Amino acid sequence: MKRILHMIRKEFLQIFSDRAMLSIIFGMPIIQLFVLGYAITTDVTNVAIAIHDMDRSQESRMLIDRFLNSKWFRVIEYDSDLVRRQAVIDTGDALLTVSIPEGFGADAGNGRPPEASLVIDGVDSNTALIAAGYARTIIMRHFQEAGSGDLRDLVRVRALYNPALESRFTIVPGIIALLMTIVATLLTALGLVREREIGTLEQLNVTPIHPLQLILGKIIPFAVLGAIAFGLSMTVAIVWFEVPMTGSWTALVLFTGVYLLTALAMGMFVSTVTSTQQQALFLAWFILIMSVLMSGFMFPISNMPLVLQYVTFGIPLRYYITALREIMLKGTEMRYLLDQLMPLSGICVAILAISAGLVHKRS
Amino acid sequence: MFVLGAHRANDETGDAMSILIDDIHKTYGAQGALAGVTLSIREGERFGLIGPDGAGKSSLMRILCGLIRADRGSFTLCGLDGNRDLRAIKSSIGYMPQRFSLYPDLTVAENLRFFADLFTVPRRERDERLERLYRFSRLKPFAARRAAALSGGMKQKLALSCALIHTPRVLILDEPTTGVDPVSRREFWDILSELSRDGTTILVSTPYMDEAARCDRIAFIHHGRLLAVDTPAGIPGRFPLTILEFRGRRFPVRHDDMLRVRGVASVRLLGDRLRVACESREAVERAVRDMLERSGAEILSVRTDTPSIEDTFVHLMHEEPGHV
Repeated sequence: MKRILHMIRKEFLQIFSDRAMLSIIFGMPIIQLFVLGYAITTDVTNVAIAIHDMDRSQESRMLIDRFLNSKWFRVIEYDSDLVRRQAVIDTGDALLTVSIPEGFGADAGNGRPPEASLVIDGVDSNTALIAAGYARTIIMRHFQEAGSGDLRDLVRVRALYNPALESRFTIVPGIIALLMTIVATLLTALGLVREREIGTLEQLNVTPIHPLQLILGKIIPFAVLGAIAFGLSMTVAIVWFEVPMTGSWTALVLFTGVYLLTALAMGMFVSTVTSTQQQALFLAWFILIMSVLMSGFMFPISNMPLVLQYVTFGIPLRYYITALREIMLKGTEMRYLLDQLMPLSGICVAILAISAGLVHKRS
Repeated sequence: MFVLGAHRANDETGDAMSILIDDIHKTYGAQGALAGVTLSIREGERFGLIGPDGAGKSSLMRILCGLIRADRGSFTLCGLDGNRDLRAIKSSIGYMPQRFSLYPDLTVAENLRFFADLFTVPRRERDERLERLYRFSRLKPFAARRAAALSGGMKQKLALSCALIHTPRVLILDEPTTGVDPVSRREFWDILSELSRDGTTILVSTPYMDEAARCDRIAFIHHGRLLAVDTPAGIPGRFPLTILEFRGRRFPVRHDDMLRVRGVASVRLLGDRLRVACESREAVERAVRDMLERSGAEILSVRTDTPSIEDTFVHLMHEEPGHV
């Protein structure tokens, strides 16, 4: 037991003796959280649009005012015929055009369903569809509030748990999960491989230290660093990004603990199958990228081919990100999250067993 | 004299065996690393292992340290069974591998303290030993310096200090002075002499013949076999050889044809000196001289010499069956 403490003490001495490394470990998560929290956003604002109003009625002006006052859109052109409709899209000046046909105001007045058409630039399909959705919302709200048209035709969409559909609410928990992976997996892998690379592992093997004490002494410091990184990034998420924390902290800590252990075990695994820090770095990066792409962090799992959807069941990050979002945004209770906790724990135990076996074999 | 080891006080049985190695075999792939090594080393003895790279020196040492397992054979160390009591053995040996492997980002003091902790040296004892180790290694002024910033000689002394922090009864050193300057080498060996005087058994491998001469006994190891075990002075005497030393210029680099001269056992070129091991001077001098002059060499002088350890070693390597 004492030997584990001595290992931990030595590990922290090494970590703190390297100022650059220290600032990377603690600075990196925070900087990434700030930068990525803003950069990775699926919110669409400031979309350049052109409006072609052939009706020029009071009714059409009111609709146009709504576009002018929206934070989503920036009206770059206003015209009274359709001549330039194709051109503004072709030149890329506008992403979307709104055309209001002649008789728009009159139709609204006598109760017939009025028509307005949208033309979008489909090159960036995600942005275009989101922008079109916003435009449709504006048009519908206009009819609704003007009391014109048949309200039964209008579909009202209300987003639960994230009423404003702020994408940072979903992105930020994802980034937290990602940071934990980087700190725990990458640093553990590098720390262990470094001992092998510089030969100190052999030196340790001629002391009476037990392999288990050695491993624990190596990974506990990184577990502590991971926990600190978690605390820091949660603080930023809640205080700065105002991500709601509606669920139970106990559940959150439990999931984080299990995931941290899994990430450490992955780092151990990487260190046992590589012999230089460079190899370890590459392998850890590969695992990291695969985790990010396959976890549903950025690309919905339901959009993937079926075979790959099955692959995602083996990605621990998938369960952790889901749990983080559920707990923070939705306040989901623990009993509804068991279907996430069970597979995550299973994977954790499996990776731990495999890497412990490999460590034993190599030492 | 600094009492570093102080085992002698506990054990007055002068000739007690510290390391007993019995018929150890170890194979790496198709090539045999150790082909049956049997050896016994007395307590307090400085025992040198000499042999070319890949001869099996490191393998033997790594087996004794418990880093690798022998395929066959057994050994005891301080009376402990190498197949059963490995953990107890690890507490009684100090090992210094060929490569400097301490933590370069930790200071001298931190490195020493870490290894003291791993061997669970009690605090008060640790401080006393640190003082003694600092005194003999003269590392005290550098206690707060990172290991990475030490010179080669100081690094070796730090590595030795770390290996000594738990006062091991047996010290296993794998080419400890390779790449170290001559002055530091001599200092290092002075320390080893003191340790053995205090009763620490030292098994050391070295490529330097002057260091071999400072051992109590040496063994030649080649292709995983011990070729000869004796005192440094006794080894050359065991082989009836005369060395004929030619001094001159432009000696040919290859001397296969000289080995065909009857009576020539082996040939070694050392700069401007060509050392020919032979049965007697009379039988070979004429033939070798002719051969050298034909190849364009200029001979300045010839003399006979008694064989050195190295001459004997080269000769043994030639004699060994299977060697072309």
